[in-house]
Amino acid sequence: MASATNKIALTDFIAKLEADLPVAYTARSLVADKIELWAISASGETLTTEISLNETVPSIAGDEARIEFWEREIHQMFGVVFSRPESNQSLYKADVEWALAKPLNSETLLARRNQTPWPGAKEPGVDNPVGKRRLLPPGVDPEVKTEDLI
Amino acid sequence: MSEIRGIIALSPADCTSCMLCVRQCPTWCISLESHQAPDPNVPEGARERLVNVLDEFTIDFGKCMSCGICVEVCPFDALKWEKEIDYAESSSEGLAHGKEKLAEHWES
Repeated sequence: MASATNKIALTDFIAKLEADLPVAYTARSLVADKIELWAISASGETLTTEISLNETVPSIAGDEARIEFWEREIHQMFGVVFSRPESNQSLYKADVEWALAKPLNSETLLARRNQTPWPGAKEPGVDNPVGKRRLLPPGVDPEVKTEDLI
Repeated sequence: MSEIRGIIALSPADCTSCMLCVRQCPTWCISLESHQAPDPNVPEGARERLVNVLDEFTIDFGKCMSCGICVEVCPFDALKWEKEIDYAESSSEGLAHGKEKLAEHWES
């Protein structure tokens, strides 16, 4: 992301953006249920804040359709819940299956990724290494059956 | 932040097959095949030592998202950004560059 970011508390993040409506608003999935919200305010300042998925994020959409679009995108892709019900809809209401999938969340398992052999599983000289510590990339769980995933 | 992220080049002589770039790549676009062999450079009388020998190293530029994590994470600086931007192909298979092609991109 940008080189000069400003990681602040959620309340400060919302307060700054309410006054200075963002020109960009997106999110990044960190480990476990932590999400980093990322925005560029109208005056050009890059702001970030870290939240967990069980927190409700105050909505700054108000009457602005573009900000509602971004909040709905964050809701659909990461599972973040906003205080405004209109922001807690997926972008494509007709796509019911994907609306629940939270595909950009690092904990989400996607079928194609889960069943694709990972090139990093190899070790030099060994074809199918069986070690005490099994290396796995994020978003892959061999215990889950692929039929259950989207 | 002043380098141009055109294409990624490999120096096969520096690669030790540590697998760090393969494992850190978010799109899984790097594949690496290697084997272990006795080190030819052990001094006289020393006991045999095994080293990793790189067989194949492929970056699929159709999947690469130019994040630069592989270049950053390589402990031996075997991967480098180069300025080449005209590497379009007429097939997606042609975008998978092997060890030799990646070494050609390297300009000292």
